[in-house]
Amino acid sequence: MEPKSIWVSPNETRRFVDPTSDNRLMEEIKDGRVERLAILFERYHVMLFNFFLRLTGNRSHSEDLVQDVFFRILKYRKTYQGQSKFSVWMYQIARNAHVDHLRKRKQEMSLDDQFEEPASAETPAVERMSAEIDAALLNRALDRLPLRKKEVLLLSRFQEMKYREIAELMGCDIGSIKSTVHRAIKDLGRIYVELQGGESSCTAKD
Amino acid sequence: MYCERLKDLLADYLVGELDEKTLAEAQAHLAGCAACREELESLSAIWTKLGVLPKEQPSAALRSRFYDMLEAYKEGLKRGGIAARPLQSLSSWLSRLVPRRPAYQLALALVLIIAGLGSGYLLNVRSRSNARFEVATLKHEVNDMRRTVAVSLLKQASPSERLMGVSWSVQLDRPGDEIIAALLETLDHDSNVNVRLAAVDALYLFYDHPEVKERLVRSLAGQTSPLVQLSLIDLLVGIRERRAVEALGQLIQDHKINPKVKKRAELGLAQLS
Amino acid sequence: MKTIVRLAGIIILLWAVGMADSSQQSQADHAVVSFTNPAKPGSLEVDIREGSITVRGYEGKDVIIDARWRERVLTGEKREMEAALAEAEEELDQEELARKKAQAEKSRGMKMLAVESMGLTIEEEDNVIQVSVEEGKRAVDLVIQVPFSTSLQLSCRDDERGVTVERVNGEIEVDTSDGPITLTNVSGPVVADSSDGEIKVVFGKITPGKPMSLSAMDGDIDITLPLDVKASLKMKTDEGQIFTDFDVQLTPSQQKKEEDERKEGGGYRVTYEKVTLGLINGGGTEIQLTTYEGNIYVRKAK
Repeated sequence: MEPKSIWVSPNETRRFVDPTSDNRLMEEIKDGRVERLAILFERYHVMLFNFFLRLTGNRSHSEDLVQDVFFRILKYRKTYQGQSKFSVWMYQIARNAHVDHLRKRKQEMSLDDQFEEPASAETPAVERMSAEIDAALLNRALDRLPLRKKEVLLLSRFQEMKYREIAELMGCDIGSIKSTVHRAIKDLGRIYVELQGGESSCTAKD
Repeated sequence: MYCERLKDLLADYLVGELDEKTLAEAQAHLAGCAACREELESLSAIWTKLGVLPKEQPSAALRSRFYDMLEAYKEGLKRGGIAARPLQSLSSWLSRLVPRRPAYQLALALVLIIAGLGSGYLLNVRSRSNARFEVATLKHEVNDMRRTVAVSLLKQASPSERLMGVSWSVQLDRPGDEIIAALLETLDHDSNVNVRLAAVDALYLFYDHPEVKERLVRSLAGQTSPLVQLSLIDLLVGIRERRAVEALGQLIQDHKINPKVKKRAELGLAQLS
Repeated sequence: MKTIVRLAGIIILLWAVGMADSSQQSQADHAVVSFTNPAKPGSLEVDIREGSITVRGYEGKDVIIDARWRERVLTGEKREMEAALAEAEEELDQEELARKKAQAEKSRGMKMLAVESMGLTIEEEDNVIQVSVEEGKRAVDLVIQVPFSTSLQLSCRDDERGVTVERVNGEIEVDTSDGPITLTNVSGPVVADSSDGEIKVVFGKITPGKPMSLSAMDGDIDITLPLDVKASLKMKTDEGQIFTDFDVQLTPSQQKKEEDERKEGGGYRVTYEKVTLGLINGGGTEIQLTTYEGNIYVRKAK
């Protein structure tokens, strides 16, 4: 299903992404050329989607949240200060959107219900099955991390933010981010091992 | 013990940010320390596994929702002309909302602009007969979110955040009783004069809500700050609330009252009688 | 190091206190307080009736408090007080002293240190330091040094010397009744009010996105903003005037600018109804300035 009106071809965004071009796009958007947001959408929406998916475990909520973030970018475009990197600003918005979302939803839906096995086409059946179980277990372990550790881990591992940027975005010092990363990985490892202990190798997940 | 030091370096190690010298030092230590080696290996393993978690793709609906929203927004801007002349474009919408009191009308406008609220966007949504479902839903959800955040902001320890809560409250489409109750509570009990002042201005917008007028009159008796008293008197006189007459009279009798407030109260009394 | 015994009989000594006492000068106290978590920004709350508060940012992690009590009471009273202190000390024997000390140390959650010198109480809990003065105590001039990122909540109710803050980047909340409020090289947000005093703020930079509000009944409000600030001003004064040398985008109906040579730097004097709304550099941080009689000055940083 193609979008009704194509503002920009996705190809335009696959070229090397210069971070300053994000800033330039925001300046244009602030000037009133809001359609330029489409480029930023094409660049970031999958990463944002995955960020939210790992936070909420729910595909539909994650899509809502992505939409919310871009709406807020439009709405608050005038408050964007050129000094910080666009992605740092965007993830601040994303985190806030997520917090608002949490407040609204009393319970998160169970990760098990929502997380489907990732498809991986070419691997042989047995290997594929254990890789899938691995991934599912890891996702479940991730889900059980406390929020702040999870956020910091996601931002550094998946959203490819530098620790310095994460520190800026979360308003704390870089040392505390680094030690949070350390603790998050340790905790994750521990939970993952616990989960593995509860599974025999080839049974499907419960 | 270098083992402790290694812990601090781990985060940088995982993202490959260690400089050569530190890396060499670390590797030298690891060669001799089994405990650290094991720890590092298990943590690295998790890090690597995380890296191979596949990237999920959103549904195709996400893209079309986005472009719909963008189109609607752009059209709204064009119609509202907000980029060109912020306040004139609001005037017709505003006049339906508040009576013709220039100061407050403009205050409302400013509040909207400050928040970056695309009023053109809202104009657009209101006037559409065939509202696009997704846009309307989004607006509704955003409004709900705002309401929750506004109420929570009003309870924060930081007065700046409470100020933000007041200004968020006035931007809501359908504020609801919860917000109005929170604003009245703020007016009566907030410890900060500035926040109470902001609450007075905000409540002006809701004066036609049941009970608000009465609460405003009652609030006057309890206020201690002259600035808030002045603002509240202006508000009550401005909305021509006759029930304020008695409260004003009492204020004038109070011997502790600031003479400027007394003067204003006397003026107000005259205007309302 | 002196053991300070409060007249009510509770021992509180968890901190060293140096007491300087000379009959000519007013008495001085000095205390150094650490935050529970020095890595995170902390808060300082000061609440006094008579006296003045001066806070300065510095590079350290602790809060350093110097208190100078004003010699105002009759010498007789002072001597009486000291005699009572000495008496109380004698009455409590060593065992009781030790017991009470242990009891105080066991109190959970709160790291309380009280400088029960002449009525100054300092408490720290979870990165919040509270300083207050008991009722009926003498006027005190406090000079406090804080880490730059500290947030402040300062209240000084009855004095002409008011509150002064320099080089602090946290949120600042101040109220005074008579004294002026002078903030220099701060980044806000600032929420301040005064009944009679003037409010003067010179911003080093502005923390974006955090609303601010200053209100004064009789005094002027005088703020200096960085040149490139993006601000949305809402200014209201009953009997004062508004002056600015910024290029303020006013709401259309209020666009009446007159050159005013009397004002230094040749700023514009703007007249209005009661509320003036203006945007600087397109608008941004909400700043509300309210006075009754005083003037409002919005200056460009030079």
